[in-house]
Amino acid sequence: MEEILYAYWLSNLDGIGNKTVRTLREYAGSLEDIWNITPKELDDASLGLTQPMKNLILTSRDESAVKRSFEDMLKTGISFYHIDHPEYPPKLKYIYDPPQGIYVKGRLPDPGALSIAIVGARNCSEYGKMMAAKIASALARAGVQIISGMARGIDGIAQEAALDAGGYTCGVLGCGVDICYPEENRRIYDRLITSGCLISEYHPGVPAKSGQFPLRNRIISALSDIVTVIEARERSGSLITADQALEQGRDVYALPGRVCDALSQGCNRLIRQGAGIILSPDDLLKEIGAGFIRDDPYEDTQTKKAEAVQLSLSASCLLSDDEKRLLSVMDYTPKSVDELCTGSGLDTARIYGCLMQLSLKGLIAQKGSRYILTKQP
Amino acid sequence: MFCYVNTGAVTGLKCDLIRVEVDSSPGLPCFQMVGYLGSEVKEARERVKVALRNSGFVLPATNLNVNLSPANIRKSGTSYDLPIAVGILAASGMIDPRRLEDMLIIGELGLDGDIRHVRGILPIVKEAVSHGIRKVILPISNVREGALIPDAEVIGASHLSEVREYLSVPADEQDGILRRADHTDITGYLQRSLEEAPDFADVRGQESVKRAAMVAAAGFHHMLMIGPPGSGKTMIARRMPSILPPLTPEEALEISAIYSVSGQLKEDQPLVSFRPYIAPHHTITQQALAGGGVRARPGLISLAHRGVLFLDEMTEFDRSTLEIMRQPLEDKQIRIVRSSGSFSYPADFMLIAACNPCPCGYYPDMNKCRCSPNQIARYINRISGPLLDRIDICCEAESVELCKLKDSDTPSLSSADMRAMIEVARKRQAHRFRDMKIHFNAEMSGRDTDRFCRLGASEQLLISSAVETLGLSARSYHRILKLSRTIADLEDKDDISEAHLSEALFYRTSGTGYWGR
Repeated sequence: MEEILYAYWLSNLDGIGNKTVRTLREYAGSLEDIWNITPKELDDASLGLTQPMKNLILTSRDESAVKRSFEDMLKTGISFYHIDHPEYPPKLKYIYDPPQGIYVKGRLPDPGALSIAIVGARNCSEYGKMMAAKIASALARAGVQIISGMARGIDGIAQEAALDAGGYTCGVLGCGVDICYPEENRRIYDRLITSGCLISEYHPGVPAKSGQFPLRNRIISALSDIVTVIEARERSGSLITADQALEQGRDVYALPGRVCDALSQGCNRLIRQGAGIILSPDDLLKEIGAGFIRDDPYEDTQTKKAEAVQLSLSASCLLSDDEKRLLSVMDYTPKSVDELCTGSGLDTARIYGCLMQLSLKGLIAQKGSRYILTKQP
Repeated sequence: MFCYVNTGAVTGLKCDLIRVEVDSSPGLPCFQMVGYLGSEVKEARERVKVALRNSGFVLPATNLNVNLSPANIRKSGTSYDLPIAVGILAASGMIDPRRLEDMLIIGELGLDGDIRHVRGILPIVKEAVSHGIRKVILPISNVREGALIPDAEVIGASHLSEVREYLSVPADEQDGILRRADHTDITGYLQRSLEEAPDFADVRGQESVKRAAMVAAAGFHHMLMIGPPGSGKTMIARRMPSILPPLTPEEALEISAIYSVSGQLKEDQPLVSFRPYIAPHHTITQQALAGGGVRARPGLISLAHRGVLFLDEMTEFDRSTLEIMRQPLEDKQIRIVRSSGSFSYPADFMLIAACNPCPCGYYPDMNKCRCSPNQIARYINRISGPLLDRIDICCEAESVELCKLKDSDTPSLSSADMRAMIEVARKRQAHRFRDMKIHFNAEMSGRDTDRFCRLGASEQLLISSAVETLGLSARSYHRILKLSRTIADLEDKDDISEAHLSEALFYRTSGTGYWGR
């Protein structure tokens, strides 16, 4: 039997995790030796196996069944790479606790190209949403591969923006790659299969469990050269990713926020501890060195800036005085109608018309019952 | 000897005149009652017997038969005691039966012969007058209620012996025993009540919610307020009746009839003079809200008729209880079928609902709220889509900063200011619907909407693009039009402008941030 099948067999044993497989390999020597292990060897106390684990190893050794299951999996478009496989991502191989095997749907990231992880809070603010999309889109256009966890909030938004920009992005899941979790990101999941990839160390069919997510964070940071944190509360999962990135020797960048925003406290703390500061997507690209960059994003942004100025000039000419006043009190935090009334001095009867006009001109956006600035006038 | 007494029965809000027929004939002395009687009415036999004895009358030693006709209507309640007692007196020759023919008698008896308060006087007296029976003898505590009906000659009595004496003396001496009550002055009541209501001026800040409340009141649109605890949602709802137009005498009588049937009219408050404000607790049962029970009574949605039904913490209500309101919200009445018959109660109320945006109550304040998007969606989705679809206005109440509360210099819209603006919109609606059966913009049908809510070219463009980008349904489209009609009416404008449409769109779409639709 081929080596990959032994690895596949081992990684499909529920209850036998990554660490146990590593211990077994160290004890037995090769994967084939694990397959051929005797019950007496399994009893060795240094392995620390429980009786159910031993039984599982001994009873599941059915060559034809393993082969059949492997082929069935390949048919569903999922591939499996064990740690010694030539296509196994090299960045992942040399961390403290590399996955013994990974399941992949889609195309693995190019090991030669720059990869940046974008992570952040699931329950994020409008500011976080906007910045995540902006940064992901700019990086993707510059040819950077975006790594993230396809979670709610920042992760999903960043990956969707990268896909929209035509870039490559890889989602590392905390469940089997055949499962879309969270379900609301189904759209992103489908797009990742065709124009990116999904990676998981859990075999197909493993449901999402809370304990698996911190573990998958180590794969996110390992696959990237740089980890950026967009929004994080104090003591959040994104900070675990940042910690692991530092352990793995990756650079960490954080997006600063206001000190009174709970969602920026984790990021600000990272900066305090020495993380890089993200001032803008362009700034980040320059900071990490133009050598990696495929196109010249600087020129690109210059033309865009000029376009933006042109647009804002033409738009502001068309704005009424009320609209200009209203626009002057808006910013990137969502504001309620009452706040805008007090700020601009418009009364409740007049303000809705102005808000609608500004929305139609694309200068502001309605978020529920609040409004946020979308473009700098 | 045979004689009869007129009285009335209420089923639902419908009234039937009942004849209490009494026959006293020679035979074994006994006292029997028939005519589809409920258990309270069967008990009347004992009460009447004792009350007669204690009032100094001796039951004749004859075969007494009482029939409540028509015998196919179920009789319930205690209001038959007095007519039965009077009937027996007449059948045994102590009262001239001819004097009872053009008269209606109603009341409960105590064992000592006292006449006690009963429910449902208002609709019964109204029914009697419409049948040409104008003279009504009723319990003294019900007099002011009965005297609300114009043309009714209402006579209050407090004891059985008074009634007997009244009916046995010559007509010109009657006034010395029991006097005809003066007609209750409805308009006087209605005017007095306006001054007592809580005022919108007490609500500081929340200008946009107050504006939304004004639009709701002007066009009788339903409204949902979403906001953190303590932002003044209940305060605003409590003040809604103060900006609704004062009750007309007809409306006051209509509402009072419902309250009378459910036994909620008090001796000192015989008329519901203020728009009802009903705020049930969220643990309310389906029956209490919709009405019903073994002896059907109006539910809270009927007690809120022509007034405000305020559902605080709407997400905490039992879902099936809320769903009950779907049909009354469309039909303006509720039909209840029970084994004792089917009843229909009016339920034309303005629904004002309030809820928190999420389980902790602070979303979208990300510094305070730690609820996940799933939790938030689940929370708000406890209110079903079809119900939300019937609510035209959704607005967000924000937590108000302390400085704003203290700053008494900032002008705050008072109820009187708001009423003045609403009056303008009212007049326009009254004129618009003068030949129709509806009164408010919210009641317009699709056809009326097309007729009265014509849009200009730029407005048409605006709403088409909104419908497209927001994916609004045809029903939403019509509701937005009706809402913008009300907003234009508030400003006394004939045409709906882009600003009016924008405001209506805002009210219709501002909730989408919460339930993602």
